[in-house]
Amino acid sequence: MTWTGVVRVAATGLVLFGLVRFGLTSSARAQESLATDIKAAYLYKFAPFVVWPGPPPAADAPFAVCVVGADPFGSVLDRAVAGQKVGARPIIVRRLAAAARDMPCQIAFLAGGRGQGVKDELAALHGAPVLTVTDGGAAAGVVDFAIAQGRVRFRIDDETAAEDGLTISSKLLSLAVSVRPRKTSGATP
Amino acid sequence: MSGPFHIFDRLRLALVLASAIALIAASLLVAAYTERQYHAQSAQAAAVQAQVLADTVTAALAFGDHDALQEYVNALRANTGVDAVGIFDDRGRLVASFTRSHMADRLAAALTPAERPGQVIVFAPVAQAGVRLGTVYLRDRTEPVLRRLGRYVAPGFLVLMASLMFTVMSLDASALRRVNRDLQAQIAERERVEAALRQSQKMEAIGRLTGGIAHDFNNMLGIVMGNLDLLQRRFTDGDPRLSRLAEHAMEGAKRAAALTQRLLAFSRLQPLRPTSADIARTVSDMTDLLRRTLGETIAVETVSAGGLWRAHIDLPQLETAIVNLAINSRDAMPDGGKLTIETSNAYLDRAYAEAGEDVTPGQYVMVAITDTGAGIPADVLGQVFEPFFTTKPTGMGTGLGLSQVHGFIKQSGGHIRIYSEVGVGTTVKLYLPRSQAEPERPAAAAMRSQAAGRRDLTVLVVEDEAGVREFAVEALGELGYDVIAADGARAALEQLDAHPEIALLLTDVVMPETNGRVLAEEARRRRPALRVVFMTGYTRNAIVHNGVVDRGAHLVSKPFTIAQLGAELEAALAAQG
Repeated sequence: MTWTGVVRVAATGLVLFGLVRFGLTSSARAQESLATDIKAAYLYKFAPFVVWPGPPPAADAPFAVCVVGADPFGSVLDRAVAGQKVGARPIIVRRLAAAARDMPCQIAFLAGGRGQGVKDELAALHGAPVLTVTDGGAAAGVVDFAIAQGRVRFRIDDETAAEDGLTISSKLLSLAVSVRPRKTSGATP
Repeated sequence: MSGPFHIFDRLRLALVLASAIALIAASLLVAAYTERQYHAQSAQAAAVQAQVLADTVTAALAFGDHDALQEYVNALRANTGVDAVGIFDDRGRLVASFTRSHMADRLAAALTPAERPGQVIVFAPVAQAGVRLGTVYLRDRTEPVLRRLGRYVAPGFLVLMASLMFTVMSLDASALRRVNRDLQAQIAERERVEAALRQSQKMEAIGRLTGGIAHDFNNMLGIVMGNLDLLQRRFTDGDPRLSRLAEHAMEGAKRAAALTQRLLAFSRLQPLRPTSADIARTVSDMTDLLRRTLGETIAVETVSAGGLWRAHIDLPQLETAIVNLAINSRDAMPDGGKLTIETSNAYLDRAYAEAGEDVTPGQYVMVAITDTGAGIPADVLGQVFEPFFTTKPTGMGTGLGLSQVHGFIKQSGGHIRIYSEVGVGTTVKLYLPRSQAEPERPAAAAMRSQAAGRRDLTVLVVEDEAGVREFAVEALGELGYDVIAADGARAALEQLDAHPEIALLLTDVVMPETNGRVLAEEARRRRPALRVVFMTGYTRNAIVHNGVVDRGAHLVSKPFTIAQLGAELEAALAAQG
């Protein structure tokens, strides 16, 4: 065996190893990234099915979709909302490090950060007119993404929504994997 | 009369037909309107359905839940009217659908569909809170034409039947009117015939009455005349003044006798001796007489058709009738004019006979007497044959002329018609029955010379009325016969048996119990050689049939003069001799 032969074998092994490793992980990672993309696309889509409390905002006031904490979407979210509107309102994306009660967001994806976990973020926003969206962790927002039958779906906590002063369309509720109904009245779907 | 009715009928029919057409047209309009409504409704229904679907699928479409979308879409399969349903996302891609035929997979292609009849295509935007999420495409099948037509079958059938009913009813009504019209015509015809019959019966009734009176009166006249005759014969060389008185009395009696003759003629009771007569010759023979009678102002013209049949008629009576008619015509033409006497053959057919006239269909010889006189108004034309009806001033006429002619013609089995127009003239047509017999030799009734002197002959006189009987006895004695008298059939037969020398039986016809004819037959049975002469003024009895004397019977009409009686007896004795 020559040096070159050893190198060649090693190189081949490395390449093979790399290929195999990359190939094995790429499928799972691709799926994961696809789900993330879908979630990014879903975020703003909740808007038409939710009514926020208070007087109707100005027709051209921006509609803010916020990502609080570590942003899993990156540019995907920006692309997804590009050119989209809620009614006549342009959609903007805000990325925030921490949740605050008076932050200018209509929809907030709580990813959890270093200083604030998802649970803390939720606590911070409790009672605020913000549609909180979480990604299937221990602490769930009003909308909590879930994977069901290989598809991205969501659960809805209508009770919390009520506490936050939000009204969620029954159409959206009907699409949810599960719904935690609000206690008051019979407005459950 | 039927003209206006006819027009009315047509108008009615046209009206009904127009109504029927209008009804059908209205129904078609309603159907078209309903059809449009149906289309509009189905389009609206489709739009609503699409909108409902669009509202339902918002969330599923927004979050790309294709399974849920497909479920929503599939739910519409149950509606057989839905041909295809598609849901396109906000990028125009087909995300869920079902179809019974075809389906475009891009919204752009679906937006410009091939137009097909019987399809309704609607699009509904899927939007939530002003966010356009996609589009719902829905294609409805309209009901098949046959099924839609099926819906109109029942009302269409009703309309058709109604129209048909209208038409039939209208036709029925016009048929009914037609029948009614016919019926009315029949009623009118019947009334006319009844009127004719009534007239005929009236004439007959008057005839009976007149005849009855005339008969009795005639008998009495017979007595008067007979006795006057005897008076004149026996006292001719007596007082001339007495003789003149008797003459006057006789004259009056003769005029009375003429009157009764006319009454009898009217009542069809005068004895007639019809012969086979050449009417054309009779008429032409009368022309001179008529010219003299009518005067110079009236032209007399005779027209005779060739090949004229002979008529079976009593000629002297016919001549009297023609003279009567001519005199009527003369009176109608005081300023002169023209009298035309026309003769021709005529055939009166069944239709004519059935037209309410009292006439037997058959062959007739017609004599028409036409004048250019004043004419007779239509309202009195029907009465002219009634006795004593006259338009002439009092004293100018007896009113018996036409009735006498009428009676005579009817008795002869003929027929008479009168036509008149005021200011133009009058035509009287006499239809005389055609004679089937060979022409007879003109009866050479040359009066035998008045028998004079005694004869060795015995005559049996049978007469129930004493006056007449006595006159007859006297008259026969005057004529030189031996006379035996009997007042009835029984006595007569006894006398006949008792007196074999009786050679001639002179008997009245009308007698109580046994009439003259029966007596004569019985007498002939016992004495075949016995000659018989009847006396009668009245013919409603056995000696005549319809007033016509049996062939070979000898008859002397009452009232008679001694000369007439003598002549008849001579004839009877000479016959078969």
